[in-house]
Amino acid sequence: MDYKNCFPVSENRETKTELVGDLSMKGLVLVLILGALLYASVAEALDYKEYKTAKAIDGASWSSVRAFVNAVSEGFNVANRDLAGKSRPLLYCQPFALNVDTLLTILDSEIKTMEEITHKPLPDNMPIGVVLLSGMQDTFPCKS
Amino acid sequence: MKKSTLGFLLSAVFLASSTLASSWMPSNIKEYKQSKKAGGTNWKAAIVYIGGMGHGIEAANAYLASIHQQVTYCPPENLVMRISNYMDAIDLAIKKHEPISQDDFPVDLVLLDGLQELFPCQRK
Repeated sequence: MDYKNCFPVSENRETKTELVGDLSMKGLVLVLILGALLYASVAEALDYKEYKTAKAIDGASWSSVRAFVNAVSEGFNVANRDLAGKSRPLLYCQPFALNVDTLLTILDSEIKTMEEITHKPLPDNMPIGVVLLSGMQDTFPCKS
Repeated sequence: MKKSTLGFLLSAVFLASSTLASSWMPSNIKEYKQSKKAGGTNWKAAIVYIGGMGHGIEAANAYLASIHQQVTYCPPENLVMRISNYMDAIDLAIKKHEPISQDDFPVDLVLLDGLQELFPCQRK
């Protein structure tokens, strides 16, 4: 599936990281507006650029990203249960439930691994779901 | 009260409410229906949750396709999945099983069921 055009990124988000240190009234209002934009877009999808931006801003945007990442893993779990029900190979074999902090550790580790393997920064439009799935497969491979 | 102080307080309230909303998720269809009807912060959180689950299922489906395995559901090739597609899928699955109540069913299973119903794979 081609995810390339699935996650349009607003031009406005370029400035979010620069605003973090500016706690003036104007800065706060801008952060709120940009945060709200990001909050809305997270519901549709999440790519690497949005992930990085939310992490830098922290606050509500990052909370949304954490909730989204947790839900992505729920999506993997239901897909895995469907595969198990049809006696088909699983996506990965996770032995126990994970909290969102562990999921984020796996995600960040996979981002690093992908960048080391390709010797390139992860593309901004890379869907976070794809990276997390790859990370879960590396972390919890199924014994054949 | 100074404008800047008021602005800061309003910002803090907004951020706190958004953060609280983000951590909520509907555990079953009953909660899904309730939050949809009520709207507000819980519904916003439900949208993030359902969007995330949908993209998790979508990524899993794309992976299966990439290794030439049978996919879980078959959306049109050029369709960019949106929240509205996931909501349609859930609503379709709920409707499909009426009058049997699915209130206790987990949202993730109903979403997958709905996606399979909405985008069935043609048997060759």
